[in-house]
This record gives sequence, C-alpha cells and structure tokens, in this order.
Amino acid sequence: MRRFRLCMVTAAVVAWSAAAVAQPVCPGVVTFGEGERQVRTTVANRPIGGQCLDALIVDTVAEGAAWSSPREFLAALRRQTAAWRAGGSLSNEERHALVEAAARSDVGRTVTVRVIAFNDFHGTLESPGTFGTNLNVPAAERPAVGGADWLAGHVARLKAANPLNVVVGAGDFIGASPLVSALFHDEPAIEVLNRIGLDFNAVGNHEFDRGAAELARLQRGGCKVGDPNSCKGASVGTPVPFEGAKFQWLAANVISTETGRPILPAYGIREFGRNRIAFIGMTLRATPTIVTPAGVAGLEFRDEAETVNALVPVLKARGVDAIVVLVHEGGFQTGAVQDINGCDGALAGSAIQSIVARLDSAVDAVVSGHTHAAYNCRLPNAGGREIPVTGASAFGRALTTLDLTIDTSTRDVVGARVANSLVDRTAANVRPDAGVAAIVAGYAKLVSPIANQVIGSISAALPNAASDNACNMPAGELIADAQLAATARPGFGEAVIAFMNRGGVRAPGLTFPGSPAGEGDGNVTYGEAFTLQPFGNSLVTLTLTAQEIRHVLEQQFAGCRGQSTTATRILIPSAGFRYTWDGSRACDARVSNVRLTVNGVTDTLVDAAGVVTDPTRTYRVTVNSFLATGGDGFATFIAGRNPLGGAQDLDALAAYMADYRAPNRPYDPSAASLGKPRIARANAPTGSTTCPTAAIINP
Amino acid sequence: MSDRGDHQPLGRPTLVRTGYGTEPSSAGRRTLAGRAAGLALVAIAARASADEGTERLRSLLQGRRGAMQAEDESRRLALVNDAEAHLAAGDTAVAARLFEQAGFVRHAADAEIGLIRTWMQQGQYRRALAFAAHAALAHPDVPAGAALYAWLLHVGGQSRVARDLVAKARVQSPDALLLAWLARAIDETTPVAPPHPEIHGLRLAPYPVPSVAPARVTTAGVVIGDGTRVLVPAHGLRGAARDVSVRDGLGHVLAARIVREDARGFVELALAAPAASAASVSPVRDPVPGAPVSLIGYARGHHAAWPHLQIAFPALPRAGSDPRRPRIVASGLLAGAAVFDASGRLAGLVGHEADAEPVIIPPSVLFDGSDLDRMMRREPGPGMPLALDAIYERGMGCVVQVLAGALS
Repeated sequence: MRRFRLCMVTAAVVAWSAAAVAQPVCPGVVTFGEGERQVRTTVANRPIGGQCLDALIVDTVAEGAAWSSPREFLAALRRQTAAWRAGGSLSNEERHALVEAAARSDVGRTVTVRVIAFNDFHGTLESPGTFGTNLNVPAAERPAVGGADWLAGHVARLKAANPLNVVVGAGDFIGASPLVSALFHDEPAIEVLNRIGLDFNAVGNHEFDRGAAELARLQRGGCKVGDPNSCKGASVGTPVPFEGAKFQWLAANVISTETGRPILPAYGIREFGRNRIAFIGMTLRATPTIVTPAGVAGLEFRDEAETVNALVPVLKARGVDAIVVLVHEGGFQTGAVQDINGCDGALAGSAIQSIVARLDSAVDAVVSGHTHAAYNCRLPNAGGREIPVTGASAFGRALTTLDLTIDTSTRDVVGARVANSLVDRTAANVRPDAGVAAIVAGYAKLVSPIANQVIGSISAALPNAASDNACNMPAGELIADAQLAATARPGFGEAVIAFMNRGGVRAPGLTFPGSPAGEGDGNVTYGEAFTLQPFGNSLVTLTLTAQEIRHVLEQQFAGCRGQSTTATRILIPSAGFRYTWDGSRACDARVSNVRLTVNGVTDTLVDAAGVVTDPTRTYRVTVNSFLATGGDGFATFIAGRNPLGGAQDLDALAAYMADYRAPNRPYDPSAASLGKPRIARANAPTGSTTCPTAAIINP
Repeated sequence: MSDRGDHQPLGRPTLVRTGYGTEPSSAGRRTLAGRAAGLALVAIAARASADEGTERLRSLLQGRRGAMQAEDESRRLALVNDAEAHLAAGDTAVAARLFEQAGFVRHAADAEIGLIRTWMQQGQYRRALAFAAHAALAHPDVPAGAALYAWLLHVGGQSRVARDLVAKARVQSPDALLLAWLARAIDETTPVAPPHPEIHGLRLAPYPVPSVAPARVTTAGVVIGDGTRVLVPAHGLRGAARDVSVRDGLGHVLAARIVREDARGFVELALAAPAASAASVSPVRDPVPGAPVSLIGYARGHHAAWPHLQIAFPALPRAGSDPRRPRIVASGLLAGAAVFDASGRLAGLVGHEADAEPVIIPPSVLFDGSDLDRMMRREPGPGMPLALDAIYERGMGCVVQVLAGALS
C-alpha cells in the first residue's frame, strides 16, 4: 500500500513536469503477476513520470508486492489508474482493461517472502578457507568462502531480489570464535552482523559461554567496565559505547528460574502488509550439558518441540499462521557426498528429526544448526506434513534461501522453495561490503600483540609536563635524544643536535606503573610509545648556521621572529645542547650561553652576552617533519639546507629504547650522562614555577 | 510482550514484533503438561491417551538409534585413523577429506583436531587457527582442543592470549598433564620445542616427510627466490659436510648442498628440488631500526616443528659497525630466523656469531653481488601492514631447520 501511495504522488507531480523528465524505453504490454499464471493485457507499456507503467504497478516479487488480498490490490490499482487517467496518461478504455485483467490475475492471492538464514557463524569475521558444495568437489577446485564482508555481499544480493525479506540465524553466532572476535568479547561479530542486516537469531549453546548477563549486554549494548578490550569502536569506526545487537536474540525455551519467564523474547514477528510471519527461536534443550555451569546458572532449558507447540496458539491468537522455527539443534546426512542441498538419510536418528516429528502442524519451516552440517530436507511434522528443515554448514560458509509463499486469505504458508548456496568469494555477481571489510580490518589490526610488546624500560616516570620553570621536559628529552641517535651516523644525517616541539609530546608522557596490559612497572610498551608520539612524523636533518640556531631559539617566544603573539613554545633539545633564556629581556636578546658538547668537546654558539661567536658555522640539526615545514611558528627551519629524510619518529624512539630493555639497565632520566638540565632560565620573577606557554613570557 | 520495532533500520516497510510468550501459572510451571494445559486442552487430552503407545514407540526408536550410533561411531573412528595415517605419510589432501568425512558423522574433537593439524601441515595457519578457536571452545571437555589452540596462538606470537586460554582450560581440566606442560612451556622466557612431537597424546608438530631424515638440527635458514636456495648464517655450519638436509615448518624434508660461503657471515645452500612455498618470500626490504619486525624461527630441538614468531624491535647498530645491520634480540631462537617487516616482506636473516650480539643481515647484504639479487623484488616504501597470522603463514613454509647430514 505504501508503495502505491508513493506512486500516486509521483504520478501527480509528473503530470505537469513531464517535459523535464527523461523518459525510459518501455517495451511490450502491461502484465500482471509472473510465471505460468501471468495475465497479459493489451495496454501498451509506456513511460509515466520517468518510469514504465508496468514497473509502477507493484505486482511481482521483485517489486516487493505484499498485498493482503486481491481486493486490496484491485482497490489500489483502481485508485492509481484513476489518477493516471485524470493526468492524461491512460485512456478510460485502457484503465478498464487494466482493472479487468488485474481481477483475473493471482496478484494479491499470495505473497512471497524471502527468508535468508544461516547458523553457527561463531564470529568468523575472516574467511574460514575453502569449501565445496559437496565432498565430491576436489579440494583444489573448492572456492574460498565466507568472511563477513562477502557474507554481507551475498545477503545483500539475495535481499535485492525480493524486497520482502528477513534475515535469520539459528544460533551460535558468538562464542567459540576466532581471536579477532573473541578477544573483544565478540563485539566485532555483533557489529558486523548488524551491518549484514540480521533480524532474528535463536540463541545457541555458545551464546551462554559467558553467561546470560553478558548475553544481555551484547543484546542491549554498553561496555564491559574496566576491560581494555571492550568498546574498541573508536579504532574501527563503530559507535562507542558498543552499540549492541540490532537484531533480536530469541530464547523461547530458556527460562529464568527466578522469574519463570524466557530471558529473551520467545519469538519475533515480521509483517509484510497484513501478512505476518513469526520466528520462534531457541537453543537445544541439552545446552546445560555442554556449557560451563556458571554460564547457565539460574536458567532452565525446556523441551524444544513442547515449547514451540505451546506457542502456536499464542501466535494464532495474534493472527499469525506462518511460523518458522529457528532452533539450535541439528543432524547429519549419511553417505560420503554431503551435498549442501542433499538430505541423504533424511537426518534419521538425529535430534532435529526427533524435534520436527513432534512439532505442531502449524509450523511451516525449521532453520536448524549446531551440527555445522549443511542439508536441505523436508521432514514430516507431527501432523505428517513435510516441511523444510535446513542447515547451512557453519562459519558463514553457506546461506539458506527459503522463499515462502503465503496465501493471503488463509495467511498460511502454501509453498516453499529452498536452496543452500555457498558464500563464494569468487562470485562475479557479488560485491563484498567495504564497510564491513573495514571493520574487520580494524579489529585485525587491534588484535596484533605488537602494542603490548615491551620496547624498553625506565627507572622513573617521564612526564610530558615541564619539570621546572625553564621548561625542561623529561619525555621530550628522551624523544630528542632518540631522534639524535637515529640521525647521527654517517649516511643517516650526521646530526649533532635534535629539537623536539613540546606539543608533539602527548600526555601523559611515560608513566612508571604498569598498565592493564600487564607489562609490569617501568616497562614501556610499543603502545605507550605510540600514545606518546602518535602523529607519524618522519625525521628531517637540516644544516643550520649558528645564527639560524639562535634565531630558532629566539623564535620560541611569543611575538618574536614571527612567532604567534599568544604562544610561547620552548623546544626541548637533545643531550649535549645547553642554553639560557631570560624572559625579562626583549625579542632577540633573550638567549645566551648556547653550548654544544659532542664527544667531550664543547663549542659555544652564543656567549654569555648573547653574541653569536661564529655566525656562519654550520651544524646538522634534526627535527620532525612538522617543525621542518615551519610548524609551531618555527619558520627558520624552512630555510634549513641539505635536508635528509629519515626514520619515523616512533621508530627512532623504539630503536633508542632497545638499549634500555632487560637485561640492560633501564633508562634513568636523572643520569648525569644525559646532561640535564639542558635549558636554564635567568631573571625569573621570585617564586616563579611556571614554564611559559602563552603571551606572558616571564611568568 | 515487547515491541522491538525501535531496533529496525529506518525505512523498512514492515514492522517487527517480538514476544516473551504467555506467563504460565505457578502450577503450570511445575510440569510441561500442566503448562500446555492452559494453552491447548484438547491437544493434551489426545496426547495423554496416546502416551502408552508413544512410549513403546520411543523405546523402539531409541534402541534403533543406539545401534545406529554405535555403527556410526565405529565408521567415524575408522575414518579418523585412516586420515591420521595419510597425514603421517604427507598425503594431506586425502587426510583432510577423511577428517572432514569423520566430522560429518559426528561433531567430535578428534576429527577437528586432526583437520587443524592437516591444515597446519598444508601451511594454512590462518585457517587452522580460526578453526582451532572453535574446536577449543566447542569441546571444553577435551583438553587437547584448548591445548592445540593455545599452542598455535603461542607459536604465532600471541602468547599472552595463549596463557590465559590455558589457565581457563586448567580450571575445567585441572589434572590434564598436557595443559600443565603447555602452561610451563608458554611461561618460559625463550621458545620451547616439544621434547617429543607428541605431548600427552597430542601431536604439536608436522609429520616429517620423508620420515627418515638426519636427526640433528644445527641451525636454521630461509628459502628464498625461486625456492631452490637457502640462506643460512655461517656460524651454524662451520665445519659441516657440504651435503646437508633442510626441513620446513610443513614437515617437508629436502636434500641440500652448500654452494657458497660468503665472507659477510652467511652460507648459501642449493636445494635438490624447489621448496613448495618459497616464491612468496620474494618482496624484500631492509629493516628500519625501531620499526617492529616479526622473527620467524625455530626453538632449539631436533624434531620437526612448527616455527615460532616473535615480535622484535631492531636496535641501532653499534658505532663503527656496518650501519646496515641493526642489532636484534631473538630470544632463544636458533640462528637463521627470518625477519619480516610489518608488511610481510623479508627484511633479513638473524645472524649469530659466537660471542657477538645477534644482528639482522639485511637483503642489501644477503643479495649484494649475488645472482640471487635478480630473483628478489625490492619494495622500498613502507607498504601495507599485514596481519601477524598472515606473516606467520608466509613464514612457516620458508623458514627451515638445517639438518646435519645428507638425506639418505
């Protein structure tokens, strides 16, 4: 109905703006319905408002026809054709011909709903390898299958063929999952299942691996408090806090012993027009025997068939006659072929066969799982009616498509076409979902243990705050020393000085206590180093004269040599470089006693009176690429000559820290060899403790 | 009742409703029949009259099912044993098919573990690892499942996760000797090779093929180029006979001969036949000090083994030494571990000298002035990062144990 109303509005608007719309080519005549029962008219197909008349009439599965009855379809058609006639798009005779033909058609007598099902996904975000449609396919000829991105692509393709669809699961979508999902408490699996468009999922035994409370969190969203591996969405492009399942877990036979009610909804209903399908979801009754007791404490697992049969009258009372059971229990085919669309042995002797045999005749199909087997069966229920019973392997390797035809007068399922298909990663007509792929790639990166690797150790904290009013900074000194070490050797820059901008040293510096990662006190992990230097700058070694170095140092102060008038930015120099600044003096007169000691030899660049002793003498100076391009107002670096690009700043730090990794002694920020303090301050106001960062230079 | 329409994406043409079912009466909660009585009295009455007959039928069916299950189990075990024999003979394709078939008879840990080991022996580490996660957690009552998953995680550089996994498994199976051994092995600061390929009933190594091979592992090396050459640090082969053998992480044993001793500290071997998986090692790039690398090499031991991956950070060369050779800490690995950068490119070979610090011998040294240079594709840029398990998979087939003595 909604689509028809939209069409009517479209038709009205188009009536006076038709000239502006590009008209499609519309071959043939208007038809109603499809297949053998299709009714042809004599009315020529034609463009109306940029679309073909035949396409505007929603009468086929592909168009999403969901009429509740033939009468409803005819009423809507009458209204729409009246509008088209009023707009001049149809003649009166043509309108009558359309309505007469429609009345003879089957449109509205049935509706076809596509149920897309899978089971036992187990958080398999990445391809589980190759898989064949059966065991007769040689291993070398089996295509690579699965992976959440391709699963999403295949589901999208199946959905596109019938807008009336629902995506369901038969449990074990989380738990017993690969590290890339398990490490993050299966939040990744749920995030990708949300984007795949899963609607309903039965609980399986593995949904209870971490208990009902954790399952409830995964359903509703939110973080595991205090757990560093929960709510990692910021790193992978998903919401924080964890968004929770957008699909509904169903647990008809899982009863809280405290409340006597199911811990999750027993069923879900989808409506297609006035046609309703109910999905009853449940796990195997034997779940407590295969899950740790803590996971199922306080829960009772009831008989599957009895639970379903008890719900049938409840659903019928709600006007639902089409019922699909999603049950996490299954069977195996016999024989050596194991075709995914076979049913060798009719699942004889299996638990699922036993359950189906006791199901009320009102149940129209069963989507099963648990055994990881694929089959496409029709088994008799308690009334002797053979109904589809499906399994789609596991790990996202296959999908089941059930096209259920519902009689709109009885609201019951009158036909079903069922097929299992591989989630083939080589399928030319399927495009993997790039968004899902990006999420998986993000988690794959996070799962790497590199971040927790110890790169070295420290004997005391190295904060990124000034340690005195002269603006020395322990973390910055470490970085400057690392950058000098990385660029000092012949061929690597031959640097003698390195300067680090304090804004590039991020909080909190390096702390001494161990982190939750468990590396232990004093140990510095690669992740902590990354937090300290997250910008990914590379190192640049430049040639500067003594005069230019002095300009750089003067340029640190607000308003001096082009520096911002509101920012004072004291650089942190490497070991061997020392100078004094005086905030009480004017621009270009603040710096003095600039000295450089290399291999025990000290060179004075600027004397105590502030005079540059040898203005043209050159030095190789290393800075990061941000400073080298004039960042933080240090335009003098742009004039540097013979630039040589070097390593990434983070690599330089990790390489330097390697010499401070056990069994070597830790880095001691108070070691005399580090030549501290490197920056001295003269004429600070009495009681001054503040390192200037703004317009006030001598706080 | 609970309306969950709020969870549906916008724009859907249909509604979603879910329900918790009816609230059973307190009496009804006591028995299933009582609960059903409130819902469908007629149906229950009919069922009650048929109870006796149903019970007889159920009994008959159960007896038949029991016989079928015994027959199935017998067939399944035969498949598992047959598969293991093929795996031991190196016929991994047949082994995989048979283990799969066994898995289709019944969901059981032994077939899954066999399949995982088969994939390892085929060099499919990522596939094996993913399925091992499942086997471990789907069969918590079988310690071997958790043990295999933990060991695969451990050799692939995920020791922290492996340790947690073993700890949890030991809560479930406190007396499992396999888990106790594993806990000790993972806790060691240096990689430990299983003292025997089979530890308390679980094989944690590939089958060597052929099975008759020299027994002593002297060093390690890396297969490069077209798969016919192996580079090995010189230290481990000093004084060795020219004819040796190599064995990769998939268990393949090949005859090899020393064809060149380079003064810069390494030796080149020529293989009698190309190694199967070596072509993938072609892209190379010299290591960058401080940039994380993966070392893939072997723990000390003489059995066929899956290699270990360690993450390391190359240190700057000592002053005065070759600036192209960063220092490296390769905790406990045999000399000759392959070095891969974050993009999975070969970044060198770990060379140990007797009293000197281990260093990385980079591609620019290994291939300089050699005809090997034309076989290798240099990639200067930083490259796209590769997942650690993919790097391990790339490395397990090209890192070899060097065995003293010729293949008979």
